[in-house]
Amino acid sequence: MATTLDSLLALDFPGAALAGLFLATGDLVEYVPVLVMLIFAVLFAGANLGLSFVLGAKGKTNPVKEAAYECGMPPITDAHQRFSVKFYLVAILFVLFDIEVVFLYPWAVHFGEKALQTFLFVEMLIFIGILFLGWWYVIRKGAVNWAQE
Amino acid sequence: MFSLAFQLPEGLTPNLELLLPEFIVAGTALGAILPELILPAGRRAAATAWTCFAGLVCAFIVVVAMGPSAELALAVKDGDLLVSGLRMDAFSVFCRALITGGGALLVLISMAFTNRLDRGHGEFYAILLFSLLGVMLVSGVSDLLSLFVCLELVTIMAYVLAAFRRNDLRSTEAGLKYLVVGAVSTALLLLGIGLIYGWTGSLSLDAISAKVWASAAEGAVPPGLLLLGTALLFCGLFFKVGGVPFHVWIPDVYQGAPSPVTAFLVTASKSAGVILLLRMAQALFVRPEIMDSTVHNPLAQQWVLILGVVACITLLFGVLGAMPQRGIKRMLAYSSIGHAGYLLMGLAAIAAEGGRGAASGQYGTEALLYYLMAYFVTSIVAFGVIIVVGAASNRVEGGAHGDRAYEGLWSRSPFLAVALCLALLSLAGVPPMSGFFAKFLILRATIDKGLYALAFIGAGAVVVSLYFYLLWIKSMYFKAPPPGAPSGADFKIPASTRVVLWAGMAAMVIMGVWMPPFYDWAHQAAASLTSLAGR
Repeated sequence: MATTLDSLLALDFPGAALAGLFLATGDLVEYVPVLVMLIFAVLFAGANLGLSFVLGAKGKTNPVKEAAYECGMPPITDAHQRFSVKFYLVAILFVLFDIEVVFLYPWAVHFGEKALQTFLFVEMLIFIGILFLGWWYVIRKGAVNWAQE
Repeated sequence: MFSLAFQLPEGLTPNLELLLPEFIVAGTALGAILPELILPAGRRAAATAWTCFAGLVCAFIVVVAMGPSAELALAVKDGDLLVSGLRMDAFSVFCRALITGGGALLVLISMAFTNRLDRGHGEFYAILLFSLLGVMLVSGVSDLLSLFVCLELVTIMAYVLAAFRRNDLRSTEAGLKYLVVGAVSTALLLLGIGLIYGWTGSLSLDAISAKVWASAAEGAVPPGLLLLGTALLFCGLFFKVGGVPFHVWIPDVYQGAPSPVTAFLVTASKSAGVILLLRMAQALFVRPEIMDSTVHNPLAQQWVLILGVVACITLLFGVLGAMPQRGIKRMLAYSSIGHAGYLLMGLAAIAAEGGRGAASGQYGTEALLYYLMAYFVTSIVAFGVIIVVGAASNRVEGGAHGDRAYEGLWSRSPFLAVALCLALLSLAGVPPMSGFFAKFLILRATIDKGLYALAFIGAGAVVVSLYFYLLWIKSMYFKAPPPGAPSGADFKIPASTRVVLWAGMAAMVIMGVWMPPFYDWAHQAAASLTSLAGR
């Protein structure tokens, strides 16, 4: 298969290296489904956009049609409101601690293995200790103190 | 060394004690946020800094104790950790000693900066230590996946550090620029890893080396896939060391970031890139022991040219760009690009060895390691002075880091002037200083491999760079102090900085005058890297 690539490179047409990507070695044949998937994704997205452009009625707009859809009710304010940065902080903290706690599940599944129990228990104590340190830091820094300015 | 008492699962080798220095640094980083939670505001800064210093010194002692022991050498022979993701050979012991020792000095000079902060001591030092931890892990990388993860640990922490003074316009700008350029180069690095994996079918550096040389033995032309993959991977690493054309972030980020962070970027962060370049050069260019010495590696032959050209451009860009700079940090940023050029020259020498089927990249590798060591010490001295002068010179025309802040420094503070003068001479490569021998080793490696044009440009750049380094020295010694400039006791030099400056000046002179022990360390570390090839 290597000779295929050499001949491609010798041709030196634009995109030769890209074509070589998929032809150079036999191993890459495994990735053909990915290529097919990629082509389908591009076609699907392109077809939908293209069809709505071609078939959709253009030029017929009115204020109601261009308004944000709010369950059929007329919108009362602008949708682009500003939130307090505290919401973002709380959201980030939630994601952080949530993801950390997810690690407890694989641990719990393997805790049944007798030979490893001491090891796993000590590991989890260390993990929880680090988690606790982070939680303490968050509390002391006032990150969840809502009233404080 | 202690050993782990409990049974580990199949496939995990029970030699986690080889990672003890990393555990110490990680634990210290976590401990660094404690003083901020417990202590009253006035005592936090010192407590945090000294905790970190103690942790890094402990890690340094453990690493050095690991170094020469025969027991470890045995363990290291099959010392792969976590299924061959990391390897703790003598090369990584050398690099980790450099990082922990240099990191301890970095913490000491940072105190002059963090003492003036009213908040965020814990964050600063914890992030700094995690980044140093990343550099330590980088030194033991033995496959592409751990290469990526460890490098990202260094880089992401460095983004945060660069933007540490978040109310300062320049610092925020530095962080943002660093992030954007860094994200692009990370994408390139990752794509390169993907393409190399596509050709070799393995992430392990040993397997990649075996495949490259097997293909070379068949006399095959290196496929475009591999060339493209290695090129993209090297692009990502050039970003770390500051090789043209991935140098664009350096002047702005070095100028805008707080001075201790700039010192970190110049030393530890750059070392991470150099260490990885060495590991990759080792995997791609250096002939494994099992291969016949008549086999030539065509990939390495192609890379000699690429690396040589990039080294020349980087060198000239850095040296010529440094001349018109009016700010000391910006001047040092361009100088750092120039030094990246020398480091890439050494890398070209390693590639040249592989290209001719020579035994190993020994000369080039040891030259790069010695260079790193010398550059580490020199930069820390230079930035030790810059942090102190910058803190006192706010009212000088042209800003705290402008050229006027250094005019007549000799008459205002002889100690700082001498320290900075020696550091600049060492950066320039003037004979009695450590920088001279480092450059000498690089030039020896290139001449030994017959890269005469490269060596000629490298030697020429030394002469040209003398011009702007000496201009700064002249301005420190012969110009009159500007109005409003601090002098004498206005410079608050903490004891920690004073110790580092004395020790650093001594080290620079000793490494330049009596180099055998330092050279031997670099030599042994390089030998361990080059003789492990193709195991």
